[in-house]
Amino acid sequence: MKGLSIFVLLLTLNSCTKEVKEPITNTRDYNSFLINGIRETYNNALSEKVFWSNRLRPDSSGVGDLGPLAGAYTNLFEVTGNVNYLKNVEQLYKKAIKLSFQNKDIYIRSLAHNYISQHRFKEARNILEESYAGISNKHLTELMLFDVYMELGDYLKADEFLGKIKNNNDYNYLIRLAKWSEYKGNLEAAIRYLEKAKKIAESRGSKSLKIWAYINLADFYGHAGKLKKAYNHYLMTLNLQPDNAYAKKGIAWIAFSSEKNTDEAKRILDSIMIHHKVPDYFLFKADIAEYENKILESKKHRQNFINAVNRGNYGAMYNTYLIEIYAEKNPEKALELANEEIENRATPEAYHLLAYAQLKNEKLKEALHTIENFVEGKTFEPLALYHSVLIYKANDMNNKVKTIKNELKTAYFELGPVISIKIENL
Amino acid sequence: MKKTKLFIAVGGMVLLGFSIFLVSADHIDAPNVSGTTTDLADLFAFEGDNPNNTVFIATLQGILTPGIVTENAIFDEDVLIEFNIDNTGDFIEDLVIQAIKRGDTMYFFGPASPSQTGLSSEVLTFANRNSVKISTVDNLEISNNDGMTFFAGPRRDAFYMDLNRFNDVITGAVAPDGFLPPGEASDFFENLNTLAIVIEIPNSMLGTPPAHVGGELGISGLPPAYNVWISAKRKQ
Amino acid sequence: MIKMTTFKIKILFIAFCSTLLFVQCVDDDDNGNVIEQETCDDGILNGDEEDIDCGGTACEPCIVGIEFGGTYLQEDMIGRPAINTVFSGSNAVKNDFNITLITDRASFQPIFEATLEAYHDIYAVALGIPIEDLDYETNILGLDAFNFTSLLAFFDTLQVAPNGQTTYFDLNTGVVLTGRTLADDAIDISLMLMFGGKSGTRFDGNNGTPQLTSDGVDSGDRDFTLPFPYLETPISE
Repeated sequence: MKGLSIFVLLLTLNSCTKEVKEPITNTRDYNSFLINGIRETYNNALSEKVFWSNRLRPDSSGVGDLGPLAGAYTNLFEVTGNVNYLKNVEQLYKKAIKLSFQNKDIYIRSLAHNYISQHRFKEARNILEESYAGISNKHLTELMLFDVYMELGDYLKADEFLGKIKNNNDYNYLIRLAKWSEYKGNLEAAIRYLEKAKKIAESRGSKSLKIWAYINLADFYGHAGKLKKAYNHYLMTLNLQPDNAYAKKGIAWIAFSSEKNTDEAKRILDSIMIHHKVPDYFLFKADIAEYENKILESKKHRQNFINAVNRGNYGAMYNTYLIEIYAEKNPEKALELANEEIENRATPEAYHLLAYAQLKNEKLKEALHTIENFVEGKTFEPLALYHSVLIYKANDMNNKVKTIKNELKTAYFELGPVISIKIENL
Repeated sequence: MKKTKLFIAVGGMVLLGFSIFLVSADHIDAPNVSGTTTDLADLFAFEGDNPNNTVFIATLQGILTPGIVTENAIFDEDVLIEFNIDNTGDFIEDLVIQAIKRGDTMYFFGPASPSQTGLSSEVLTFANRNSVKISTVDNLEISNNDGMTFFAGPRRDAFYMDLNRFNDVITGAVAPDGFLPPGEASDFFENLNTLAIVIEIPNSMLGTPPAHVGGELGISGLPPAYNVWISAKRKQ
Repeated sequence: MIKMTTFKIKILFIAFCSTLLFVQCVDDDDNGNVIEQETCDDGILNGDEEDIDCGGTACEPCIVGIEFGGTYLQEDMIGRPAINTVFSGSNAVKNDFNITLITDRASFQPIFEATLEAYHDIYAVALGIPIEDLDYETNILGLDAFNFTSLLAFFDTLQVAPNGQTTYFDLNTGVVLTGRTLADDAIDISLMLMFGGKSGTRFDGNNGTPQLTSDGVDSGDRDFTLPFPYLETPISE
C-alpha cells in the first residue's frame, strides 16, 4: 500500500517537472460569459439610476438622492464606457457639495474620485487638500490624497501619506501599499500585499472588494509572468461578475500575447465591444492585426481608436495612447500632447512618452536627457524601459541597450508580441 | 437625523461595482472609500409581544434599494455587532450580546459579561452560543433557544424622516419656513430596505435595571431603566 | 496530454485516500450506536447531522472549525436616534464621537450646546431677529441647554425600562425615555425637544414661526403590528 502511494507520488512529481507548454486559456472556462445576453451589472446600474432619478425633486435639490444617483451613473460609466456618465456624476457631486450642510467632505471625496477617473488629477488634489485642511474625515481624505499624489508623481507626499494611513490589517491600506511597492519595482511584495487584501475581502465576504482584489491581482500576476494564476483570477472575477469586460480583456490578452491565438483574442474582443464602448479595444485589435501582418487593417483600427477618442469627450484620459500613436504619424502633435501630459502629471510614465516623442522628432539628445533625468531608475514599467532602450540605441549606447534588452525579456507578455519582436530585432 | 444613513447616502458603496479601473486603464482606481459595512443605522428597544421580554433591533447598511441591491446586501464577517447593556448605571457595559456572521449563519454569544469593556472586544466564545440562518428577501428564518428568539437579514426600513428637507432646514436660508407640512413633506426612507438583527430576550436575563439617568438631570418619576447601546467593531 | 494523465492519477490518489478515511468513519459509527431516535443532544452523529448533534435539517449548524478569534475595534455606535448626526455639526466630530467611550464624552457637551444654539441663530437670521435674542428655551422635559446637551452627550444610550410602557416619548401617556418602538416618531420627538420650548410648540409653524417641531412625515403605510421579527419583509421592486 505504502509502495503504491510513493509510486503515485513519484509519478506526479515526475510529470510536474516536465515543461509542457500547453495553452492556459480554455474556451470551456469562459465561453458562457461571452454570451451577450448577460448584462447583469448594466441592468442593475440602470434600475438604480431609474429608482433614484424618479425620486429626485424637479429642481434636483434633494441632497440625499444625489449621492446614490451619482453612484448609479458611476457604475453605468464603468459598464458601458460612456464618458458622458462621468460628466453627469461630476455635476451631481458638485450640486451635493453646494447643498449639503454637514457632509460636504464626503461629497468632495466622491468628486475627487470622479476627477481622478477623468484624469483631472490637479483638480482632485486641490479639492482634497482644501478639504483636508478644513473640517473633514482625516483618514478617508488621507487615503485619497495618497492616490492622487501617486497619479501626480509627487512621490514624497505619497510616501508621507502612506505613513499616515498605515494599518496592516486594513484592505484600504494594503492595496495602496501594493501600489507603492509596484512603483518601487518590488512586484513580489506588491503581489504579497494584494494577496493579503484578497484574504480580507474574502473573509469579509464582500463581493465588490473581492472583484477589485481579483482583477488587480490578475494583472499583477500577469506582470510577474504567472499567467496561470492571472488567468484563474480573471475567471474568479467572471464567476462573481459575468459581464466584467476587464476580466475578459485580460483573458484575450493571454490568448494573444502568450498563446499567439489571434483568432480567439479577436473573438473575445468582439463579444465585449458590443456593450463596452471604450476606444481601448481598437488599439488591442490594431496590435493583433500588426502581428498578423495585416498592416492596412492595423492602420484602420488605430484610426478607429483616434476617432473614438475624439468623438468621446474624454479630455486627457487617452493622452498616453495618443502620444504613442501620433509619434509615428504626426510627431509634432505627439510632442505637443506629451508636454500637456507632463503638465497634467509629471510622472516617469509621462516622461518616457515625452522622450519617445522627442526621439520621433529626431531630437535625440533631448530624448536622452529626458530619459536620464526623469525616467532611468525611476520606474520599472516595461513600456518605459522599451522607450528608453530605443533612445539609447539611437544614441549608440550599446551597453545599455544590451542590459535593458535582457531585462525586457521577462516583460514580453505584458508588452505583447508586436513590441517583443521589435525588441528582439534591436 | 439618523446618524449614519446620511453617511452612506453618498452612493456607489452599496451598488455592485466599485470604480475598479479606468477606461484608459493606465492606472488603478482605488475602491471608493465612502461608506462602510460598519455603519449602524438605528437601535430600537421595546417590550415584546410577550411582556416579560424585551426586543432589541439593530439596523445597519441603510439605503438599500429594492431588488438586486437588497438581495446582494450582506453582513460583513469581520464586523462584530454588540448590544451593550449597563444595568448598574455607570454607562459601562455589564452584559453584551454579540452577533457575528459566519457563512450563511448569524451567530450570537451572550448575554454575558465581557472579558473587557470599552472600544476593543473579543468574541465571547465561552458564553451562551446561539445562531440563526440569515434570512433572504423571500425566506424568513427565525430561531429560538435559551428563551431567546433571533433574526438576521434584510427588512423594510422602519425609520422615517424627511431627510432632504432636514438638510435644507439646518442650512437655514434655503428653508426659512422650516419643515414642510404633511402632504408636501416626503419620507426619504419610505421605499428603502436595511439589514437588521433582531433579538427578543427575557428581562430576567438582563439583571435588575438601575435608577433612570433622567433623575440626575432633574426629570423625576422615571422608572428604573437599563442603559443600552449598540456598537460595530471591526476585526483588526 | 501528459498533464491530463497526471491529473487523473492525482484524482485517483485522492479518491483512494478518502476511501480509507471513510472506512475508518464507518468503523467508528458501528461502535455501540444503538439509539435510533436521533436528537440534537444525544451526543451521537446520526440522522443527517454533519457533526455530532449539529448540522443537517434538524439541528443547529455546526460551528466546529469556525474561527471567532481576533480583536475587534470600535468604528461606530448608536444609543439614541439622531443624536450624533444632529448635534455633532460635522462629519469629523461625528466620527470622533463614534469611537469615544460613553464615559469619556465630556468634551462633546460644549460642542453639542454650541450646535444647538447655532441652529437657533440660523432661525433668528431667517426671522430677522438679532441672534442674541433667540436662544434655546428649556424644553418640555424641563431640561435647560446644559442639561439637555449633557443628556445627549454624556449619556447617549437608550434607556430601556423592563416594566411598563416602552417608548421614546408618548405624548398621550406622558411616558418618556423608556425605550424606542418602531412606531415612535423619533425625529418629531427630537425636534420638539430642541425647538419646542416649555410648551413643545414654540416653533411649530403657527403665529409666524417656522415649522421646526415636526418634519411633516409619519410612518406612512408601514405596519408595526407584526409578530417577531416585528419588521416588515423587504420592499421588492
